[in-house]
Amino acid sequence: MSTIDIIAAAPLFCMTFGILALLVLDLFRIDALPFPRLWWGVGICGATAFLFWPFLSMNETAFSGMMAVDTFTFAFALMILGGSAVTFMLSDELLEGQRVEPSADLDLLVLFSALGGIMMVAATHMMLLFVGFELLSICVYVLTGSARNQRASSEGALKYFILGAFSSAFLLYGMALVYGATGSMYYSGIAAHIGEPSMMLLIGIGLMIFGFGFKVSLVPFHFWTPDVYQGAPTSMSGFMAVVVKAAAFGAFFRLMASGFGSVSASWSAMVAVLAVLSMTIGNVIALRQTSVKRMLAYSSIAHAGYAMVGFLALGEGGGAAVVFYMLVYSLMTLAAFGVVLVVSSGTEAQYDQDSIESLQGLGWTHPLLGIAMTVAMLSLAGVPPLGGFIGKFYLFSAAVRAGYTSIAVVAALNSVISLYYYLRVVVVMYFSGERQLSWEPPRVLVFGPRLALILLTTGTLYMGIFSSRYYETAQIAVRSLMQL
Amino acid sequence: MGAVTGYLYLSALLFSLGVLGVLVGRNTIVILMCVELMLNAVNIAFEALSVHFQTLDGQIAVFFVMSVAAAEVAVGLAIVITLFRNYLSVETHDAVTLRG
Repeated sequence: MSTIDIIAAAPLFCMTFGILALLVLDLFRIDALPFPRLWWGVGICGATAFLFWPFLSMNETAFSGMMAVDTFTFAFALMILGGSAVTFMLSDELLEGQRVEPSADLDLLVLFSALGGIMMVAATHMMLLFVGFELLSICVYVLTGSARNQRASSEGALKYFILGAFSSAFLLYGMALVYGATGSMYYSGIAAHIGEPSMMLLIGIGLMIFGFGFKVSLVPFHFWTPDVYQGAPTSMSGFMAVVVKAAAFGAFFRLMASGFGSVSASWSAMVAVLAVLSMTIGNVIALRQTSVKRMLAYSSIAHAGYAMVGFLALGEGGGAAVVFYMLVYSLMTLAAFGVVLVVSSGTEAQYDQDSIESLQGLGWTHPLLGIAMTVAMLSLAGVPPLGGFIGKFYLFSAAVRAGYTSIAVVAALNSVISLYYYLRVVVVMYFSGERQLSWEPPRVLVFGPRLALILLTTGTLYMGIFSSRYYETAQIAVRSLMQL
Repeated sequence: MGAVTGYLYLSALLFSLGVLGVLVGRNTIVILMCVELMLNAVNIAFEALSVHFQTLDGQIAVFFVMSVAAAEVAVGLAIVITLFRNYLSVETHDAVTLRG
């Protein structure tokens, strides 16, 4: 093992041993330990993030070219770890209301899927990508079904599992064809032997886009998304909407940019169609949703469409825009799911309480929840001083620079449509009917969710005002990717 | 290409059969078996290509695919069991709570 291998392995080993330690501690009644269970999860994520720090200023590969040690890995690993840490904070004592038996198993699965996500974004070899992809997916199937005695939860898990396994078989078949066409499984080897794209290579790339399209829920591969997000326990829906999506986008982008970047002309038409369909259909269907969770699911489909616009402008700053947009998207989406989680966790009867009407009066009775939800909604809609606006600005201006003006126009029009259903939530919270809740309010907001919501809301504001520094880091991250 | 082409056609045929089975299947156990068929079709392609290129990459890939497939089926069957406890059925058209 050379030095670079040790640097690359350190965070992964830290995480794996942390998970194993948690597993052993669980045998000895971890509840009797001085810290609440969730802080162990936050601690493991924090320690791993600390060990990722050297990646920030590096641009190398480890393990004989299988894993990238670069700024791009750093950026997405931090998003994944941050998303997992927030998931732990939000699930502080709240999961009981969701009829999930609290146990260390769920923490372990969250951490294992975060580990899989990190492997995906760091992979520069298709087999490592596949193993990370499956580690992430298999853990999330179980998390979806973790409210075992809820019909919706097991149904969501089944739908996710069948379509997930189906799509990963497509991804794998795509890998086999790409291997057949280029004779290499390394991204660098693929890029070197790609030459004039053959039919086999094009089918392979198409199938891999299909496989990733399912994971990031692009139209027409989106049918599972609303059912799964609604059926899963809310903290897990947030985890899926953010961590799984960020990991899949990171891995997808690295593959397309450093593997198939030189033949982008042959796949950009397909990506453009997927982007336009996802934005438009996601936003239009979200207009008539009555459940907040379903509305957020369609909104996440639309946001996947926005992020795909960045893939069209690989060389014109589109890549940096994708990285920045995923960061902002993670902050605002987690905040929205966090509020829904707190609202729906009050009593057992509230398991299905995720209708938009149930938020009526929330802004007056629970100011923190009201502000967090308002900032998240306005940012998702792309209202100026917030992070969501800046993210969209970078994406759309990159598309215009690359000559895709019509797609940028469609995307901007979609943002306007989305304003309607995001603002409706704010209006219901503050300006409709009585200034009190029509149902039993959630229990006193415990420390974990309170901290998480404050962090996410300030983060969304901060990204809107001080974006340039993070955007520059994103630019460095993508530049390092293109050189691989 | 030559000899490898036949194996690739075989793998494409088996993969398509698996896809067809998943799309028309009504029983979750049958769907699981069809997903397995798809993964094993990919294994044939990896093996054939590995022999064609005279490299070991494809052969190693098959080991990973087999172990991942085993993990996937274990989780899949567990999910089918929780579904059966809630719905007393393993047919896909009985699990229709979530709509909209």
